[in-house]
Amino acid sequence: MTAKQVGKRILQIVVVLFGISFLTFSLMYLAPGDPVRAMYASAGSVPDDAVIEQTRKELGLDRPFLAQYGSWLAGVFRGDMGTSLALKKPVAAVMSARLWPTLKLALFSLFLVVVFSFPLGMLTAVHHNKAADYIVRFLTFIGNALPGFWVALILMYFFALKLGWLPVMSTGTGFSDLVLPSVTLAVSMTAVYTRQVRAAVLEELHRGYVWGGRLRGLKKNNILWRHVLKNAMLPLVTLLGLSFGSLLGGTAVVEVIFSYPGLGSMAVQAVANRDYPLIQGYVLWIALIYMVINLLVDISYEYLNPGTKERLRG
Amino acid sequence: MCEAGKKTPVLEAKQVTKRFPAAHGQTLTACENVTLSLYAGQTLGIVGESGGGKSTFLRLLVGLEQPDSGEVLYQGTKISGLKGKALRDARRHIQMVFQDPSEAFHPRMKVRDIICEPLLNYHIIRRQEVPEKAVELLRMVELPEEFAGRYPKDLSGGQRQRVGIARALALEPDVLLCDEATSALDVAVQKSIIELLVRLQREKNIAIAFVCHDLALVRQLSHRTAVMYLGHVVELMDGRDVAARSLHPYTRAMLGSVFDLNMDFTKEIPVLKGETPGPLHVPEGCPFRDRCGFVRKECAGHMPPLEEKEKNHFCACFAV
Repeated sequence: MTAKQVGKRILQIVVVLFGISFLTFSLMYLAPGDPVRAMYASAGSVPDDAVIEQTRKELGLDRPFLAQYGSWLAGVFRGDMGTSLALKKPVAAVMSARLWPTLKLALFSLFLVVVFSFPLGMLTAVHHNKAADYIVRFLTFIGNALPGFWVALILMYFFALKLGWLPVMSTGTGFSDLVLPSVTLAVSMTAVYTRQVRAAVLEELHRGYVWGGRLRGLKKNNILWRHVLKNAMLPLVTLLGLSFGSLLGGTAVVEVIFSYPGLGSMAVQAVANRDYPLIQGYVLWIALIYMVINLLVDISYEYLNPGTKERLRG
Repeated sequence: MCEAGKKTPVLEAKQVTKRFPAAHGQTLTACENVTLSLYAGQTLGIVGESGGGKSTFLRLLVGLEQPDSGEVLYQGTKISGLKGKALRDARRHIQMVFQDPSEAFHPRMKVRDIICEPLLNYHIIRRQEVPEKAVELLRMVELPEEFAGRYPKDLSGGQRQRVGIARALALEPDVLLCDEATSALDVAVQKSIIELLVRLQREKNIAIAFVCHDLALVRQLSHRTAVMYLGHVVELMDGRDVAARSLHPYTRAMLGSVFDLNMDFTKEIPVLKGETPGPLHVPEGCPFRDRCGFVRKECAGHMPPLEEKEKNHFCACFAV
């Protein structure tokens, strides 16, 4: 991709972020529920209407919609994403504390997915329609059908309660706190990817270069790991990038179950508290990360497949 | 080919049958009881329409497919059914040239690496020896030395096919299998490639199997010619006899579709009636009988055996 194309994409990202921020802002404005009451309720007090009115004025929530959005936007440009209503801390600070744990969780899940699904997919493709293929395909079928929260509870029951190897609840964001949530997230994705890898490798195995290579005396494993895998990887890299994005945004359920202090559980709390600035910040962040990952995937795709580059250059 | 009976073949297929399972429980018969031999320094032409089982037969010869019955022998030793290292070692002596030279190479490998790759794979030369060996191989196929540093996309079709031949002959095989090696090239280039193959065969005493659907071309270079129809060898004869003395109605019908400068253009060109039944619906008995002008009652009963009708001339037909 040329610098110009990258620049264009970055501009697109900025435009989309504007749209997203406006949309979430208006959705929250229209949604039922009162942030001020929720704020006091979470603090355990039931104030009278005058106090609520007063607080509302202090927070600027009585102003017209566009004025509220405008001042929020102006703040964002100054690097100030507002202050969390419930936590009374700057949104940026709250999120940056929560970002890294979720990033760790997503990366480790993705690592597990790749480590398990690629060898399994290759295995099933090479032993196409043999026993190993049927067994693994059956398992992926089950793995894909299991709901995440159920897997989480089962893992918790065996590995945390029965065996006591890992903590039931996360006490921090260390490796032992990471394992169960990551495995939970990885189970269904591994199932999906095993099938994807299998299909991609199977397609490659039928190409002429595979048997051509064998005729010239290339060893089977050599062809498999160096040529077939590399070519089969291409379509999967895009998918992996998208999956990483959806992992970052999709950790909420697992984080809540394991009380893991990541962005997902933060977002759930923020919604429960009607913590508008925090929700707004979260949505913006996830959108940004998702689009940046997409851009990176597109750029990396070109390095993996020089063919696309040549085609673009015409 | 007259003394062929006395010599041992380099590569031999004995009653090889290969069927593939197809959709809806049908089977596709690609090769049925095929017995053919390749001799050192000689070319066996294999002709027939698409779907006749020619390519499958070549794949059986190199062990890319395993026959359902029958066996493949190299220098009198069975190589069909081999696996792993033994198969890889056997393959060294049997190399292939492919149809489309634009698809047959890794686009990001230079010519020198392409033609020396088999040698590196079998640890015959070391990486430092590649430039020197590449020049030697290029010279063998009459390409200039400086092509060593080029990429396949920089070469013309004929030049690429020469690279393909250089790669196939790098291992100094006893057998060279050409799978329609000239059909992607224009006529003038075809001729030069054929001449190259003939010269190399003479120099190196290689056995060549040349699969092609161009009867006229096969006639030029093969010592023996086998005609395949839906997996069966229906006629096997000396190469130069193809035009004058072919017996099988199918071969004769195919010859009718070969154009010639001296042919009488006022006569109607005989065209084979009907479609090939397709390898899925091979009829009982002779597979050609639906399209044959000489069909008899017994043709429906069973496949006519491949019999020696004249000296060294075999034909599978009741009507001959």
